[in-house]
Amino acid sequence: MKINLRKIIIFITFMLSFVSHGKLNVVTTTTNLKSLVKVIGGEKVDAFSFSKGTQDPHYLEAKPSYMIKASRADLIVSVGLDLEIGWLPLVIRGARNPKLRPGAIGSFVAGDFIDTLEKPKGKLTRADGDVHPEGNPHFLLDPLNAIKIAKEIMKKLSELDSKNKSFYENNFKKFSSEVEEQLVIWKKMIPKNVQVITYHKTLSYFYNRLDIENVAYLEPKPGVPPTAKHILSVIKIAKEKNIKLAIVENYFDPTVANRVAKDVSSLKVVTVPVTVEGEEDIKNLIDLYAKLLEIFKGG
Amino acid sequence: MKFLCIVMSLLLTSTSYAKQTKSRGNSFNPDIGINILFLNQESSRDKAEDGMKFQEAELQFSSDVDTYFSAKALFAIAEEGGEFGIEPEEAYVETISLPHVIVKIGKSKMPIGKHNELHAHAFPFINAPLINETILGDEGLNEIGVGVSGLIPLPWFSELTFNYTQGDHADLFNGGSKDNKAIITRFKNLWDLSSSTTLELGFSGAKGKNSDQQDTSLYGADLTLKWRPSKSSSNRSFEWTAEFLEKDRKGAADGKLSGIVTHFKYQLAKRWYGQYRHDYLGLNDSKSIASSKRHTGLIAFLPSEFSSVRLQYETIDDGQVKDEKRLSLQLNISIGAHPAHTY
Repeated sequence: MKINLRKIIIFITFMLSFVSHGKLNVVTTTTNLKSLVKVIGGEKVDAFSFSKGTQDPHYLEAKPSYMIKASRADLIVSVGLDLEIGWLPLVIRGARNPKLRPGAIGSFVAGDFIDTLEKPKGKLTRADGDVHPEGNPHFLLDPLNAIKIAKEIMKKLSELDSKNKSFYENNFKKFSSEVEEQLVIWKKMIPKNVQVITYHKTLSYFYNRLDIENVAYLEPKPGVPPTAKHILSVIKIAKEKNIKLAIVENYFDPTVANRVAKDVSSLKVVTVPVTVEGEEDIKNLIDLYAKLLEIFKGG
Repeated sequence: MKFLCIVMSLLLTSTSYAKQTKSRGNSFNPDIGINILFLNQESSRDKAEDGMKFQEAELQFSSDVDTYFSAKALFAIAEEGGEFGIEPEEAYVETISLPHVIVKIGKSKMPIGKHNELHAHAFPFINAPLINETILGDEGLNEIGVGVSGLIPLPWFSELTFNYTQGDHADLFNGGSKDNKAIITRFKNLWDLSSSTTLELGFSGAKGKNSDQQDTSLYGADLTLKWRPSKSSSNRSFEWTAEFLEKDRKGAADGKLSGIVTHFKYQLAKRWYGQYRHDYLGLNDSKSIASSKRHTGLIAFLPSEFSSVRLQYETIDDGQVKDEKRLSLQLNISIGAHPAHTY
């Protein structure tokens, strides 16, 4: 078989010419991460999120169009903690971009920097449902975790693009002081002893930071659809504790929550966005926190 | 050989980007996954296959080898002629440090159409399409060789795959001489029509020498439309696929044989799917095989990502006096690590 080495070199050079210069090209797995990259990177980065705000990032598919995006990227920012395990490895493989591989310079896994909540103790099996062995992956709903990750993203962007280091640092300082200031106000907005029912364990970090108590989940186990028996037990809890709010993340179906509310007159079902771009007017994480606070502030 | 030298030299000059594995107890063990398929079947004609049976188990192992390669091996355990046997379905290494291309070395399922690359547990229906079963055989087209695939720099996803293989298929490529290699190529394109809809168009071809020292050529084309709303809460999705395959075998068993298969798959609810398939084999007259038509309906219930129960009903018109009717019920489970499925 004859292969012309010169042709290969010309071909590779041709392909390399598509690598953009100037702006850093960043792909993220979620819109929340994209929001943080934009906060720090500003106009010095182009950021693209694979999942939309209305999509559950756990159940994305490895679309070839993601591979194209990843093939041209300088950096991939993911959540980790097995959230994207069903599709991201294939995207990185198909991108044929070795610098995005786990551990390489262009790979940033946010979950590596978080002390996670709900890390299962003892032996774990899939009979426990869709449990993440390294802990709950929805950590960006805690504003303090957002600051933590923003700082690491600042370091990563500075490493890849050192000439704009001070720009990234300034953006981080602005973001962290804004969130810290707001958090003081946010904490005052939430009344004491707010108790809620939630569909999935998406809001654990938000509840933890703002002292909201979740008394029951509509899913019997993470990722397992509600059974009749479980719904009855949730109705019982809701009645006993006089719960007023049932929260359904907007990428789940609210039918079951509405069923519970039919039996519990005090209960109001609210479908909430849990991601940036989960609703049209949510452009960044601060908008998202503000939106969630609006829902919980009445108790 | 020259080609291999180029690959090796590219590998050696490439920067190392291997995974920095944490030094935890068994983190260097390969990911191990097992798929098991149980089947109950009742046929109006072929009673020998009736009853409950262990259809197949697939054991798969995958891991990074070092800075340069990742490896995957998949062994299938199935009953054949009353005895259980274990067979390496795939065993290959892939480059992970080369930019722009993936070089694959070893034994693997060849990209001739879409269905041939699937393992039994990922088949959209309980059995394979007639074109795959008849033209490529029960084991499909599975060859040992070297493959290169790369993305063509176009605004949409466009991938070209080229495989240079030993050509070791009893009917299609079995030239006898070690110099008789078979070449298999695929050109795959995929467009995002919207954030929820994609269209895939693929062309495949293969050529090699058969046992009559004559050429066998294969031609394939496939079209897939997928729709899945970007609102996860909708729990609806739709898929339509059509695949064409033609064999042109010169020599003693001279003849062309071709057919099409098309299927629809609709997600009825979060865990329920309804599917229909139509097979037609014999677009060209073959001397040895009568034309066949098959209709297949399937209802699938997926309790979770790791299990499914599927009920399938087929009617097969293969030119005999009475059509064959077949009812199958399958349980499909997956334990351990389960690598992601391709889109």
